[in-house]
Amino acid sequence: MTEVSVTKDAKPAADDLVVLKGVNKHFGALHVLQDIDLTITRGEVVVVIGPSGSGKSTLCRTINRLETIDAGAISIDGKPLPQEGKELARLRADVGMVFQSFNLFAHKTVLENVMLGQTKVRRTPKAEAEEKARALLDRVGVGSQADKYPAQLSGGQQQRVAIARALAMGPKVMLFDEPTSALDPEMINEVLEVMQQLARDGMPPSMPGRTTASPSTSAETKDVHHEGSQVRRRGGGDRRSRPDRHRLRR
Amino acid sequence: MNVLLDHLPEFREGFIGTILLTLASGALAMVLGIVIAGFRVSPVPPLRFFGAAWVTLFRNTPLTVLFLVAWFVVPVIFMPGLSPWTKALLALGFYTSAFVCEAIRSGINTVPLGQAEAARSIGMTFFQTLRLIVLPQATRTVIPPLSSIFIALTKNSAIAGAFSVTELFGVQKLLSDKGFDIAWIFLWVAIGYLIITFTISGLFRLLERRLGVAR
Ligand SMILES: Nc1ncnc2c1ncn2[C@@H]1O[C@H](COP(=O)(O)OP(=O)(O)OP(=O)(O)O)[C@@H](O)[C@H]1O
Ligand SMILES: [Mg+2]
Repeated sequence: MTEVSVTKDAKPAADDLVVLKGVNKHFGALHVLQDIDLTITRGEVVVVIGPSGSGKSTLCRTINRLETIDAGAISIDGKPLPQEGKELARLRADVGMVFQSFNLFAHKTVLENVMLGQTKVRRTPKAEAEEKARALLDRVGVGSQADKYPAQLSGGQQQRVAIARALAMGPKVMLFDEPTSALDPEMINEVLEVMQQLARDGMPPSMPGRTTASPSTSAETKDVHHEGSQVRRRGGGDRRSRPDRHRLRR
Repeated sequence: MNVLLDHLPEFREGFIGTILLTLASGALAMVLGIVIAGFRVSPVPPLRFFGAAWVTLFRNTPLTVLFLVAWFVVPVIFMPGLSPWTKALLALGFYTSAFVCEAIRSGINTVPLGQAEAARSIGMTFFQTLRLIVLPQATRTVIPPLSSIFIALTKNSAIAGAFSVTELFGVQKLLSDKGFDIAWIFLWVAIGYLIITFTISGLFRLLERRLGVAR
């Protein structure tokens, strides 16, 4: 995918869900994120593509501030990312994240994994949380595994539970950090099917082996390609050949 | 032999004294140790500094010096009128808390970072992440070193005897001053300690096995 284009469909600013402005991030001498400007609107699916080690995960992690940035600004739903603390925690609850390596809570059953955020963060009553958790687990096709521990599941099953765990919070944005890169080919399909199903239901889909940030209603797709040195956007609609240079790394 | 039977009340009192002192200072050390370990892994630099200073201070000071401070400095500077038992409790609890803290911190470090990141990503606060996700998973690795720490605490509590707190080791001084055969006294005192320390390691082994099947 070498052709490059930019979408310029000027949406109202109120619809901007995730906004990155001049974001820079260094790991020591390594300048991983270079002046990233990125706006994700409600209902948009953004796919970030780039070679290994180019900073896709880092970009994803800065959006819910698991990684701090050196310069620039990030805001979600109009609110700038606050400092570490209660307010940031509240904001993170609205940003679902699915990790490359699943990261299910090892000491909790599948059901508890999906309930925990609801009961402890959202303060949802237990019965209600359990009902929602079971429905979500059914939806991602692992309803029968509810009482097992994560270590007893296959990778594909674990990742589907992780998706259910993120969805249980009712997020405004879903961040998928290469949700299938740690999976065998057969398992990739399970997970992709789940994500496609979610997309059809108005929940965010994702691309295989890529970092995807997608707000929770999918309408149009906008790819942010990131090959070697640059991130470029490709619009769902009109395609122009002017790269929207978002440098991630030299 | 007769020393034990003739002075059963003294031995019993000392035995119970040691158990109570160990339990109380063990509980204090656990609470402090968990809190300080939380400080040491917290995102707040002043708390991290406080935690590091606490551990450095109490882990590197000889326990006897802490007892001397508790006896002669604390009453003068901080709060006068503490009973000897309370002072012994503070010295033992603070000293042991430094070791408990480091055991817990090493346990925390064995929990993969992704666990805490996943917890934070669903909106848990630092405190919730620690309490609900990290500490429960750290528990298993912390049990064996904690067992050693509590056995050491039991034996360390003997120092309180030298500061005239009623406990098992103090019985030895009491009776040998009365002129009884020292070898027998020591034997019974040693057996008293063995009973306590064996119980501790047994309990911890049980706990370890219980946690082993829970996952
Ligand atoms: N915590 C860290 N400390 C130092 N360097 C880091 C850290 N995390 C990532 N890096 C470096 O930053 C660069 C980008 O890493 P990142 O994980 O974002 O890459 P990626 O695009 O997601 O790669 P992959 O496709 O392999 O997952 C890499 O060169 C990596 O070595
Ligand atoms: Mg990555």
